[in-house]
Amino acid sequence: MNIETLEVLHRLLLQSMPLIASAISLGWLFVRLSLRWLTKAWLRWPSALLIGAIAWIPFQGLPLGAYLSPLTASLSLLSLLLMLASVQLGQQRLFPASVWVLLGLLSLAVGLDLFAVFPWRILQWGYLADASRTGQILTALILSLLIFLIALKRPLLAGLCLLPAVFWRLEWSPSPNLWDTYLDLPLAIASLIGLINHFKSTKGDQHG
Amino acid sequence: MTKPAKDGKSASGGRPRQAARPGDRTAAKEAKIHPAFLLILPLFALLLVMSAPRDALPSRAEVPPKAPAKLVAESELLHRGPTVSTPSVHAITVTALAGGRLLAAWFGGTREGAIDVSISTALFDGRQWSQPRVVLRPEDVSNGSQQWVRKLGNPVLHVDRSGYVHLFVTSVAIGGWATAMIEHFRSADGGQSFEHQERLALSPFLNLSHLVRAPAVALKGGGFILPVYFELGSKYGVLLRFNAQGRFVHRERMDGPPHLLQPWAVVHDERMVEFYFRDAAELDPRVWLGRLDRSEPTRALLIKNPDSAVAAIPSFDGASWLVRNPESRGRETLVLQRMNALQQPTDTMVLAKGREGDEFSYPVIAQTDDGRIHVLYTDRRKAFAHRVFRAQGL
Repeated sequence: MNIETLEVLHRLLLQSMPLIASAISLGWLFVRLSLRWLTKAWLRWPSALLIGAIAWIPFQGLPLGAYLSPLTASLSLLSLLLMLASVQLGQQRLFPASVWVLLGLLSLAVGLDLFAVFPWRILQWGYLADASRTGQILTALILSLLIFLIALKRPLLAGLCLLPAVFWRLEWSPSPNLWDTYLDLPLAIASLIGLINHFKSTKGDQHG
Repeated sequence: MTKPAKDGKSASGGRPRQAARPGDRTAAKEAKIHPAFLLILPLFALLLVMSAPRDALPSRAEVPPKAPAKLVAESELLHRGPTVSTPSVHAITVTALAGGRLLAAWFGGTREGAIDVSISTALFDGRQWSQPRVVLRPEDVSNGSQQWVRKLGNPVLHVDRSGYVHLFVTSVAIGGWATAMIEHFRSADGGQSFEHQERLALSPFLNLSHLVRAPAVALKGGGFILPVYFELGSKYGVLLRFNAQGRFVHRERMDGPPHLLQPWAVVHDERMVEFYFRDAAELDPRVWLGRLDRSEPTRALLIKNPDSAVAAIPSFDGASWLVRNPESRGRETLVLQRMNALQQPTDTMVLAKGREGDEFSYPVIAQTDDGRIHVLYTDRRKAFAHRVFRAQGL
């Protein structure tokens, strides 16, 4: 396979990303809503694939998935991978509270930078090009900490969660910014819910 | 490790064991993985980031020809802009082409923000404008990006060193301009047809609220910087860098208080690039000035700005020609002013003066290679005016 073919494949993949994101979201949502009936993991995958395929059905000149793109196109690679992982893992909790805390804090910091509330340019640190040394070190430490915290509970999932960084480093991700591959609004909300759930269950354990 | 009791209760306490769930086998398998894995994974993450190249992006700008210090208006016949065929038009953008020509693009439809708004282009051959052509409709953007787009807004044109014409368009799927995104198109046939490149990913949170308005700054080495702005809650300028292949590589928030938008670049020399800002402050809005290299803090100038767009080109001795609405409220008057290096107006020409409620806005200014200075602006949202100037004495 020569470099031109790889570039064409890369371009095709990036062009299809909005539809792939919609398909994964649809499949995940279906599995999530029907977990009571889909108790076996092997049943969930074909169901998710079938529902996900709806994203490619044309409607008024556009694939259906394109209409979901205002919500799904900006999903991070991490979110998409976690959705796929949760199809396999079912109702199991993906992360410990520490990971949700880190993701929540990171989302908050990047959000405050986006709204120009923070003097620090955290969003800017995530770019592959022209990274400042301080920004690069802090980004590397935050990412390593995130992966370490995930690996403590789920080493295999931690390996999967490294993939967005690999894609970013190889310039295969839809965005040149590392944070775009790890953070998004649904994940920020999920970090809050994950945290609440964790504390709820801890409280339940203490009194149970 | 505590051994589970046979009756379904743990050996250590009275709590019943949870029934085995489908994923538990995976979790048990994961728990057996060697602890070294715990170190290798984060170390790999660390290496991934630290191995990123630290080459600074090029920041030396291509220096455009300087506009003359004294200008005189050309024939009144040239005062009409491109013909428009829609009831409402706005936000014209121009880029200079070889041979004294100009390529213009704008948005037009029944009204700003309507779903029938499309992007049209026209070519000025040095004497007259060609018939306009619709080059982009919302459905074209949807088809190109495979993402639903409901309406279109401000366009910006840029011709790169390789001759590609880049078109950046503000697009909206849900909500208004505060939730807008930027689409990148490119033309290999001089602006006849455009191919979608990408929707610029500018923030992790729904990619909201980035808009274009001002032309790009060409860089030595082939890339360019596109000044855009963010306007959801806070308003600030943003610099987007593109490499020599026209790929978006970097986003940088500009300095200044959170009410500055629509930065317009003026290249004085390869290291001295200034930006004029529109001011959306409620009290005493002014034109603001910032620098690319941040060698001086962004500051308010002693000239008013009624929350309206400005445009400028460089002149000699650090001076520039600035087009702006000079009142503190309203856009009834539009002037072309020469600002000296100390940012004091030294020469003023009135371009348009209307009645109360009239709007002459969103000016653009460009110099063509025949030395002429072109100023175009929205004329009461119905048409575009085109004023041409040349050096006095020629």
